[in-house]
Amino acid sequence: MNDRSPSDSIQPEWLAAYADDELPEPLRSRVEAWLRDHPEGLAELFDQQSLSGRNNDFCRGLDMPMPADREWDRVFSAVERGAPPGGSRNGPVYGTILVASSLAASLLLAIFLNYWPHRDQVIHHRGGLTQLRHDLIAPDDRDDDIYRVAGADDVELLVLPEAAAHLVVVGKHPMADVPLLLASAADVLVLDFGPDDQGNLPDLNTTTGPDASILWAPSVKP
Amino acid sequence: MAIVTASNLNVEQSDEQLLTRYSRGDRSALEVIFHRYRETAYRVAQRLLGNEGDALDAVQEGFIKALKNLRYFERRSSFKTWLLRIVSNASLDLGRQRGRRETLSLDAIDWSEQGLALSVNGNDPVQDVEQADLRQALDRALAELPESQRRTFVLHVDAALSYREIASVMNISIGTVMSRLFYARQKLKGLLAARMTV
Repeated sequence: MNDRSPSDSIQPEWLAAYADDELPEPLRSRVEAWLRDHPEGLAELFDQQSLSGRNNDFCRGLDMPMPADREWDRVFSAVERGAPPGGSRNGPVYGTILVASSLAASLLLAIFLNYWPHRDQVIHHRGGLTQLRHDLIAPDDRDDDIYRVAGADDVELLVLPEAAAHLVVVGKHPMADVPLLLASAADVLVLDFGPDDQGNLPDLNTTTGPDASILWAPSVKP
Repeated sequence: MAIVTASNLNVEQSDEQLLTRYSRGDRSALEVIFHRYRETAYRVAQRLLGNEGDALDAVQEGFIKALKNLRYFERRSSFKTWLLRIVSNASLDLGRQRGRRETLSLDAIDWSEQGLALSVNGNDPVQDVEQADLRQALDRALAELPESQRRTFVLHVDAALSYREIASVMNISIGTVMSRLFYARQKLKGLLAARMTV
């Protein structure tokens, strides 16, 4: 199913990445094979190279006004005060609070996931990986107690993957009959998909248009 | 006479060495790190925010957060990508809080009061005005892009990050980087057609 001829069509963004010398294997070899089979594609490659070069030349050719030295000095002083070399005196206390908050947030997430059952799980086995696709629904028993163990002010997010941004809810707990949208169609590039070990194809949302969405949640034990 | 040592010469100190010195309380290491990345961080923030003052705030906040949370920096990526991740997040947060303000016209700015200086070479007024005009055109075009495409494009062009580094900064796949960059360029091509020469 996944053995594709090098002559298969390629994505235009692969060609652009190839022009930037940034295309990883095995896509790189696939593009090179395609170019060998389709010499007319060289014109498209040159177009991409030219566009990339013009974009870079245009942006990098513009001298951006830089702050004056005294502005940099002001910012540096603020950085030095905010993050003093060697760490701040209350670092250990802060660290303890942060660890406690992180544990509390994890607990809250665990409670949340246990209270929010999943349906329509489709399990695909490919290359030893198990992927779970969920539709999330509200709990049946709305009288269940929800314990608030950490507030928004207790947790500082250092890194938030864009695709998980919609998982984070500050304020009201998200107990509602609405799907949890983790990424829109525009955020996801499907390079390849295949059947599971029973020969079933994934249940993909094939809706098109700007409102199309793909529901994707992290793997959670049912 | 000052004694020149490897630690105060700083020329060939790696980020890793500087960060170790910083964590031991060496202020000069902080200065070197700040000086090394302040302009790249500022370029990214300025392009994302379109406003010089906000960009400086984002750089300041980004440096403070990155340095205060060094213990979470896992060294799987470079300090540069770690810093730019935090600076670009700070920029986007600031942009959401304050709204992406219209880029200030260079003509409207009293540079001496703003404490900002043009680093344009030559001081040719006509050339400076042309450059300012092109910068505004680019800012307006970038503002037309979806946030995710704008961030990807800026990290590639202004911070000179590779696709792999951008994927690390944004926590997305390389395929997504490819796609976003491709569509950003296509859109900018249309928006800046009259400005870009072959």
